[in-house]
Amino acid sequence: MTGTLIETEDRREYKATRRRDLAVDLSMALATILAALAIGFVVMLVTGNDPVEAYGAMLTGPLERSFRVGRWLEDATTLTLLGLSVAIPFRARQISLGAESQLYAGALAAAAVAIFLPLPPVVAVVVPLVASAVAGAGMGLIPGSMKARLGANEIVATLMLNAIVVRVYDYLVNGPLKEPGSSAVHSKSIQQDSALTPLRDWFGIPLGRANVGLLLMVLTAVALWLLITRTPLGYRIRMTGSNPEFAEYGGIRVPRVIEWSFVIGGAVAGLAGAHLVQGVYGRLEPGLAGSLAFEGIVVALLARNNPLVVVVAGLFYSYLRAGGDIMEQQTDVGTEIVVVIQAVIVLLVTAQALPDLLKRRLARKQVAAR
Amino acid sequence: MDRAPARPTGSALQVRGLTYEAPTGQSLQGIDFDVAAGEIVGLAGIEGNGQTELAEILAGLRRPTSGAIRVDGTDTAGLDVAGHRGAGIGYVPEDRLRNGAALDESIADNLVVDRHHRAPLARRGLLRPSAVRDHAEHLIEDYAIRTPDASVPVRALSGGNMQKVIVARELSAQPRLLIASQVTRGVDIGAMRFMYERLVAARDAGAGVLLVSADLTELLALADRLLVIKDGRLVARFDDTSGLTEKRVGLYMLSVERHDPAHIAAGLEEVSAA
Repeated sequence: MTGTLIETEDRREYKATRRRDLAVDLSMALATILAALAIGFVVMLVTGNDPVEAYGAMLTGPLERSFRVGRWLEDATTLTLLGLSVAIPFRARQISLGAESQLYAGALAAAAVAIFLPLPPVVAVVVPLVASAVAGAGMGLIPGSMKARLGANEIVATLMLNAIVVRVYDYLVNGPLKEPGSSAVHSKSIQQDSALTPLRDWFGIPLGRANVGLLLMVLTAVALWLLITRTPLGYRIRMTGSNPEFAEYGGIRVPRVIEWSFVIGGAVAGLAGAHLVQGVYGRLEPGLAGSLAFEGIVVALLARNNPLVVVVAGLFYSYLRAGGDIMEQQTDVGTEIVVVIQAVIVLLVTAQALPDLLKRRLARKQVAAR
Repeated sequence: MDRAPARPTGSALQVRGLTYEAPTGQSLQGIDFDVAAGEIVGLAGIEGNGQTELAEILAGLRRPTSGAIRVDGTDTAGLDVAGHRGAGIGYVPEDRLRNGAALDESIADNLVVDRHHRAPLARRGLLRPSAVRDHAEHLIEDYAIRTPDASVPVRALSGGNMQKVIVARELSAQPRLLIASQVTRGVDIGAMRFMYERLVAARDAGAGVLLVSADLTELLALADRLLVIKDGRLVARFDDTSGLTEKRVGLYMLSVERHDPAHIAAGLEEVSAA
């Protein structure tokens, strides 16, 4: 049994074990990516494509031109915010799939303020951001309360809410909010002062639509990490997620904690909506988020719901997405192969027993050597 | 187990006319008893006769249907779990794996569940990791918890060691009333002895202890007074456990004999239901 093993270790041995476990985790992550790439390699060979050329385009493409870097960072910002938004409820062991509804609610709120409310500079950026966070939080509170107080299943509640909010959004963009006189379906553009400053203005090189939202995303991740590790609420979220019966026994009001986890996650997803409106498109467009809401879940899973790791996972996952697009443009290989690679990575990562197996084997070897 | 006779002082717990309709499990009927500060009251009975329900009601995890409960003079009706803890109740649950610990979390985090929001562990709305760590290291030392580090997840500990974490948390809160359920179940002999010493020490420091156990030897060794529960009712009360044998208590546990209800409720002062 590994249990009695740890107990008998002294502190130095224990620290060494922990370092070794970390090394195992990191090398497993690397091995996972390599394995996924290898499988993609085989698939391309079998389908009669040139894998070397395709991988060349995919893996180096996003860095080749500055505007491609911008595309990657812009995508990573939204994706990471969405990953963060589900990582918090996940920490409380709540399967929230509501990022989509929260994002669209946030986008609507941000756009409403940024299009219609004349505000002085700086304030014009901040108020829509706050509005989006509040709208997203509200959209999180609904399924959160239904789960915590009424015993509704949070998976069903969030999915149904997604269905409703997306339809409402489509209606508004196609109807009341559609720019008059425009043949394409989109809203009026936001006011200049409400736009998130493009990174191009800072670095003087074309970086596409990447904007200060990137910085905002990193700050959000750090703030959430502090929330989880350094606040009483974060402690309650962790304990509720780890063992809700223990949390209740300890005097934690579990329903309230569940609600908070949804509200915080919702606010972050709302910010993702604001990023799309104020930073990327400058207006409301149909299908604003694409499939990003669900890929956010994958990113959170990859990062095991650690907010700081979500940033890394988000950057990595977006890189694959951006690379896949370039590969499709430059070679005959479609983006499907990227989907295959992503899926293999997710499958391997969710097989969490694998690294644990390896750690246990290493531990046993160490004991035998003693 | 050597121990001085109890010196009961004020009252730690008063239970009057406690009734509980269980949705599942054992219901309770007309339970009346006291636990004085500075005594250990044992609760004997074959498992499943209402001990779990009674302990969880006292800890605030279930709500009684009717009856009055006073902890150190505080009426606990309508209080939530945190309120019960605030009134001075500590609880070592019978199934430590179910709700006694968060197995995947660190020893340090498991030791602060009831006090993580209070100084010195939290200040100005922020949790202080260094304070949580110091707190854990003190308790690890005081309660002889065997571990290389406070960051070890509780899952990695043996049964006795895990139980020490729970007992350390509950006793370090300095409860007026400690409910200790199956405190030595699945625990090695060294840890068992350690628990006994700690319970007696808590008693001598003035806590009332309600010791719920399936182990009669343990009850006879530790309890200053003994109650027997059967089918959700108290069926016996022994105010003196010296000379009491397992065989004799067993007769009450099996309903072969029972005490007169007047004897069980004798001398309990009137407490009005809220």
